[in-house]
This record gives sequence, structure tokens and C-alpha cells, in this order.
Amino acid sequence: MNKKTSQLLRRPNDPLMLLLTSLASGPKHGYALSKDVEDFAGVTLSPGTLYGAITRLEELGLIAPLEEVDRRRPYRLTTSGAQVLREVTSEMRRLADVGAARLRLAIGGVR
Amino acid sequence: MKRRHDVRRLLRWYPPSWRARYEDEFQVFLEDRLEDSALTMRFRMSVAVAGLRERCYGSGLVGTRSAPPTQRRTGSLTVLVAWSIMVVGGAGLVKTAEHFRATLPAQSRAFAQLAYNATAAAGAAGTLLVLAGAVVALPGFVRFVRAKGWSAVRQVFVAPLVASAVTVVTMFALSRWAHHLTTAQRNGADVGYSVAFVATVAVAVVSVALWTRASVAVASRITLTSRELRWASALAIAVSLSSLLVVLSATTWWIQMGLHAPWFLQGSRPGVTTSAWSTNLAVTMFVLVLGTLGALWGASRVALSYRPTRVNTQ
Repeated sequence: MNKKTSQLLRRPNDPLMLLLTSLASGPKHGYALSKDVEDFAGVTLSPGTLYGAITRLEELGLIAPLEEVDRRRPYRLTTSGAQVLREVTSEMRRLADVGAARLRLAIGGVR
Repeated sequence: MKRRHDVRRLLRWYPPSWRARYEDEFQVFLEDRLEDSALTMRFRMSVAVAGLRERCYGSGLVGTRSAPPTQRRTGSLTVLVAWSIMVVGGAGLVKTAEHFRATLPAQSRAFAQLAYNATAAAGAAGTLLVLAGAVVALPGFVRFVRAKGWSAVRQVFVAPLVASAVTVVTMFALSRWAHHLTTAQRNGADVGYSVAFVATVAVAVVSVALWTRASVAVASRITLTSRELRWASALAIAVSLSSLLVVLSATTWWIQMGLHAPWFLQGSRPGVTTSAWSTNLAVTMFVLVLGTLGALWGASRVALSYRPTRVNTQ
């Protein structure tokens, strides 16, 4: 993952990160994406934010458009998009593990 | 049907290049999202802000999403627009400062005069630099016309030409009228003349704005070589420095006048007032500062586009 992409995906609630996560379970069009993000993250993306994120992800080559279905264009995760998502989530997991381990240590210390 | 029309109108906030790619699917998305609910002001604002943001990032006015040459071109054009604002502010300053020398005591005239001359010199230098920029863009313009591009922009020159003609005619008529009036009548006692004066100024400002719009329309369509763009960028930075000098020296002039002849700023007789406040001058300075901030923003876009490593943080 290059520096440019890592700068974009540094927060777990970043719209770009949320869309990549959503597309990991299969191609979706704009409305399905916004519903899915709402379901798994509890975040309602405004129309401008959603399509701004789609534009950025497509520019970066992390997602790709598919053929239109009933005027709705689905998007899929590209290979590099999947790779970026894998790297970011593993980094997040590593940080979460460190946090959890330290918390256990702190709680143990108190006891 | 009306809903679809309203949604399509909302999409005009987005740049044409973005609309060409996303308009249809975005429109369907908005219709899905809205279902039967009303198109609220908040919703409209959200789309409008996102559209403007897309315009700003896409054109290179902010962020590093666009290519460095695009940022340079947009930065230079921002300076051009800012300079047109400076022209309006400068004209206001010239009018406000009319005959100031006569009101200053001889012993305190030098510094105010120096500040005013510096303002005028910086203004003239900026204008020459803008003209030099036009010369730099001329080969690109010739290439553009030869490639039959003229027909695409011909229309935008109609309005500024008409506005300029109206400006010349109204200014000529106003100056003829002014010759038949006393100083007091010219300075507000004659309501009819005052209204005509304000209208003429408004027409002149509109004329400057329309010429600027036409220049930007042409300049954003022509292709510049990297050498031409480099020259245009350097000139844009120089123009922004001229703008800064105009504001600094005009402020110095205002301070000097406030110290030595505050009554001039208020339009009253010598010794009547000690306040340096002048609403006309404050408005003029506001316009000049606005132009300078715009010019500095444009210059910073140009300068930052030359950074060797760029990190996208949008």
C-alpha cells in the first residue's frame, strides 16, 4: 500500500474504508452501498460523501464499475482494493490486539 | 416528474466532467434515497456543498487530487481573477485619494506621498505583469483559434463588449454632466448625479467582471506548453506579490492620512475631526484585501504544485 492510499485510509470510519469493507462482500450499487454501511457501521453517508468516496476510490483504482443494471451501476473491489483492505484491516487488528492486551494488563495490575 | 427535474437541477453543482461520468447513476441513487420524502433544504445543501467541493478539488483550486499542471493553471487563473478585484479596489482608492496632497501640511507630506506612490507603482507593476501573462498565453491562444476553437468561446465576448460600450458611453455622459456642476454637487449634493455616478461604477465593475470571465473561459481552454505554463506561473506569483505591496502601501497611506489629515478622510474641513475612519476607504481596503488574499491563494497553489513529493490528504 503506497503512502497516498495509507493517508486516505487511516481511520476506520473513513467513508473510503467503509465502502471498501462493504464491497468486500460483493458488488453493490450506490444505494445498496449506503444501506449496507448503515447496517454494519451505523453510519449514514450523505449522498455527496458517498459519491465523493466512490469517485476517489475509482480514481485510485481500488474499485471498478460494472455494467449498469436498471440505471444503477454496481461497483466491485479490484485486486489492489482487496489488497489495501487486507493491509488496513490487519493493521487495525494489530492495534486492537495491542490495546486489548494492555487493557488486560492494566486490569490485572489493579487487581 | 417534477422530483426528477429538481434532482437533475441539483446536479448542476457538480463539474461537467464529473456529471458526464456519474450523473445518471447519482440521479437514480438520489431518487432511491429520497423515495417519497421531500427534497429538504438540508439535503439540497448537502449535495450542493459536495458538488462545489468536487469542483474545487477537480479544478485544482484545493487539494492535490488534480495533476500539478492543472493546479498551476488554476492557480494562475485565480490570480487573474484576484487581480480584476484589485483593479476595482484600486479604482476606488484613486477616487478616494483624489487631491489628498493639497490637504496635507507640507512638513508631513513626504511619507504619505511615498506610500501613495508605492501603491500606484505596485498597481502599475501588477498590471504590466498581467499583460505579460497575456503575451505568454498568446501563442496558445493562436493555436486554439487555428484549431477552430474560437467558435466555442465567441459567445462569452458578446456580454463584455456590450458592457464596455455602455461603460464608455455612461462615463462620457457623466463627465460632460460633471463639468456643469459645482464641487459640492459632484460630491453628493446633486442626488441625480450621485445615482448616475453609482450606476456608472456598477456598470464598470460588471464590465471588468465580464472581461475576467471571458479571459478565464478562453485561458482554461487553451493548451500551454510546459515552458509557457512555467512563465505564467512565475508571473502569477509576481502579481500576487504586487497585490500584497498594494495593500501594505495603501494601509501605510491611510495611517499617514489619519495621522496628519484625518479631516480629508471624512470629507470635512481641516481641524473638524480627528477620526481616521472612512467608510469609503474601509470598503476599498476590504476589496483590496479580498483581491490580495485571492492572489496569494492562487500563488500558493502554483508554488505548492512544484513540491517534489505530494501526499494526498483529501
